[in-house]
Amino acid sequence: MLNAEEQRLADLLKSAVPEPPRQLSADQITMRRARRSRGPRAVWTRPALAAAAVVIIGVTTALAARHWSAGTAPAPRGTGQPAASASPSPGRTPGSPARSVRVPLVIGMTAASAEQVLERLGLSVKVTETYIAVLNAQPGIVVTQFPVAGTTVPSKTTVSVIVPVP
Amino acid sequence: MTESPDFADFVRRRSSALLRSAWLLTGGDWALAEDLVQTAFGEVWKRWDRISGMEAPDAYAHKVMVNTFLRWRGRRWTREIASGRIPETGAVTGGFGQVDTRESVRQALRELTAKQRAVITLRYFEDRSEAETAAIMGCSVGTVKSQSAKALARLRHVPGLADVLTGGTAC
Repeated sequence: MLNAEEQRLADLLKSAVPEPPRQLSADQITMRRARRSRGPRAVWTRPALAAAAVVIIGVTTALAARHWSAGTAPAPRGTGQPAASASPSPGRTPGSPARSVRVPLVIGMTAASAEQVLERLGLSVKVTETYIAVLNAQPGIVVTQFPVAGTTVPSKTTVSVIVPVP
Repeated sequence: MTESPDFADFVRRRSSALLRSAWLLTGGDWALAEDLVQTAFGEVWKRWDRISGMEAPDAYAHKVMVNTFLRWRGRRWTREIASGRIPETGAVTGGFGQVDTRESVRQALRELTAKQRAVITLRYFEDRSEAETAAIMGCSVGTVKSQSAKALARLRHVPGLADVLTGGTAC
């Protein structure tokens, strides 16, 4: 079956392979298997986190859509002075009907204090309660706002905030 | 640890034969060879209920090993699993001459591709026919022939092996 060269190779291989340094035992293998089966846990947390992210993005988008469809004019970005704060900007032309307001960060406040802060700045507030579970959110604490903090908007603009309820 | 005594026995009986083949497959690396055999036994253990009833569980385990090895191709070996068990490696050597051939065989194997090494191991170390080799590797007999021809051609150019293969005559 084998030619001379193949036969020599076969002999060579058989003489070259050493004794295994140690034998395997069954408990090494079953131990290894037990370790392996622990793997999937890390695998399925990832989709769960992704799902949570999708929920948050979806909620924000829905809020934004509702915000614009409510008839509020989009805020012209960057029209205010860079340092424009909550105070009315005195440098504006008298004919301008709206004063610019920079939207403060209300995420993390309770719904009531967010409302208070925004109304004091001359903004109107729309609070949306959600039953959707939001990751790491406490009930009654604002998790999302629109427009986002730092945006300069005309006063009386409606700021939407989302508050999870249990 | 609940394991069937059959499986423990099976591992004890088969491990050294599989380890030797794995040594050739992995190009003479005991650590990798042990990993390979353990992985193969692990696959067997998962289906042990079914396999233990087979006519030839040995052949099954062997086939799993060869195919596991072929799947490892091109993959860098980073899946090592740490274990609390420290291996005791008793050095088994058989004189300088034997160490010499072993070293040149190891060098030669590393010149080959994984598939060529598998063919060489099955055909010439385990004395399997071309048809058997093809069945184990899941390829055609033609592939076995061409791979072993290529492997031999390559081995002829390995310095320490050339004169051994040609029967001691200078070429």
